[in-house]
Amino acid sequence: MSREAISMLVKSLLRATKKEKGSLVLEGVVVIPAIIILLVGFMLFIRVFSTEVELRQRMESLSLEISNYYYTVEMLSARIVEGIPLQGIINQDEGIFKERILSGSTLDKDDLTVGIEISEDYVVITCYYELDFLLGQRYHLVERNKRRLWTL
Amino acid sequence: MKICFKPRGERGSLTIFFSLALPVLVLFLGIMLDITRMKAASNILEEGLYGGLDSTLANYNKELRQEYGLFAVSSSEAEIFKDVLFYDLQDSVEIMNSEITYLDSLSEQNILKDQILEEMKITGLVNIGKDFLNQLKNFQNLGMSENLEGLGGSKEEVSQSVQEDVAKNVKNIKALEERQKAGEEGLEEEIKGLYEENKDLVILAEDVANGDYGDEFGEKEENEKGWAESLGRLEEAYGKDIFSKGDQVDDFLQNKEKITKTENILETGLLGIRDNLLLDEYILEHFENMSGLGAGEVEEIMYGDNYVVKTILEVFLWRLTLDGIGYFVLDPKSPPEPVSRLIYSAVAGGVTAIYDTAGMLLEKDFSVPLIHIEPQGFTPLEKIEFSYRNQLQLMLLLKSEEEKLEGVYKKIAEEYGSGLYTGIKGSATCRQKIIFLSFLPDGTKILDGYVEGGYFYVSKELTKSY
Repeated sequence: MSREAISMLVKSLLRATKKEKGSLVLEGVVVIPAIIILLVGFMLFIRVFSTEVELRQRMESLSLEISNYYYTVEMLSARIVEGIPLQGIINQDEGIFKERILSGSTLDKDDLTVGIEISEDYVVITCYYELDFLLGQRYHLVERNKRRLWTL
Repeated sequence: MKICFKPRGERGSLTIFFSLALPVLVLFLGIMLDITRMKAASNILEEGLYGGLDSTLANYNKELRQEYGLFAVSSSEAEIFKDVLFYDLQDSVEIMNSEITYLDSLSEQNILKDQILEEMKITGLVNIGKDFLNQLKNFQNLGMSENLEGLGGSKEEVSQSVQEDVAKNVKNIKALEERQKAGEEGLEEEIKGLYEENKDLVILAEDVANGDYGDEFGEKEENEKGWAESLGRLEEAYGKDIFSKGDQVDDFLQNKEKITKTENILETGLLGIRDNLLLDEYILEHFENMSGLGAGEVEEIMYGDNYVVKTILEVFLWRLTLDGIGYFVLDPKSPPEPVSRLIYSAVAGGVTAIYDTAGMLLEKDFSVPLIHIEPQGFTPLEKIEFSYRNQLQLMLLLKSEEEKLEGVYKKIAEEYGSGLYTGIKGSATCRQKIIFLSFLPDGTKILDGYVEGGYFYVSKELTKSY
């Protein structure tokens, strides 16, 4: 848009303001941007909120899986010696945990960082997720989940 | 240039329109936002409760599980629930309070029984099966196997065996008839009995000789003829009345109510016996008995206090009964005169019973003959080995289920304390700040919570059990 055109638009708005006593200014300059900001804000909230819910659900599912089926090497050895059938083995590789969280989700692989600590009794999952917010801004989501292991 | 033409008199209408529409829009979006957050708070609290309860159950008593195959959590470990709940929800909602209630105590007999049956449904049945097989082996040792094999052996073997029996009976009949001719009386019944037995044997021999058990199916007429002949022989042997009861059978079959009732009684009875047997196996498997001077936990479960004296007395009485009957009925040395025989049986049975009781209690894995007569060799029942475990099985079977379960729980509670539960109920209240709906008056109910002081409060309760 050329400079003249912008200048003409501004002049027209000012002239219209004098004649319409401010109603068009309200509409064009204040109200519509306000509505746009509101809608954008609402959409951003929904985006963050849905991501948070999805992340929570995936973490919940993973922690449940780990707590039910996680065995340390010692536990596995003991179970093999005792002849107890193995219900499942969870690989401790964090890449695999990350894959499990991402599997079937709409989350972006590059934006997710998964931290898992498995102690003797507990599994603690911490997920960091960065999502595009507005104008290149990134929103940081942090979710935590803790669960006691069902060791046999 | 005009961007928009507005006739005179409508100036400012847009301002009015937007001043009305915008707040409505803002409010609508705000309500949507707040309701979403409220619903989320409710769901997050539920998830947190689930995680807390699951973690609490995960902290079950592992020793109890390994030692007795029972699942229970201890009531003294409520901290895990709060720890996990607060950890999971710390970034999302503000937890106001939380509480955990323990349910389904192991002291409740139906819960303890269910867990015991679950634990024993495989091992218990295997043990019972093994016992049964051992008894069968004992029968084989008695020399009955040849007879059993004979009955289930080849056609030739069975035929030969039956023919031999018939020949033996004929010989006996002839001998008896000669004695009868010589003037001896009272032999009619015996002769008649042997005749009847021979009739049965002849029918059996003919059926075996003529029977075709599946090699050829094409000779339908011959088979039918054979059936008719067999029927005729049966009627000849047992009289025509043998099939005259058919109408009564039909009547009975038509009375479905009676049948159902009978079936139900039978089913309940069999299930009761099965449960009792599994419960007894559980006790014998998981608790030590007095054999070999053991701890006597099984006996304590059965008799409570003073279990040592009661057990010794009961074992002795069982042995006295079995051995005494053995001496009275089976021992050829026993005097013929009834009173002397009774005294002899009581004394000999008593002495043997003392020996048996002492052996079973003092020595581990000690077995005595089911019916013990000294010196041995008079009865095949001697070959059936009867261990102290078998004795306990018998004694346990005669105890009521309630007594046994009470005894088991008492022993477990002594070791692990009485606060053992298989279920838990968690409840918590959390709050979430309201942004747009904060104008709502306190106490307003919304979704599954209420509003107070600009916050949305929600309470949840969840139960989880083994």
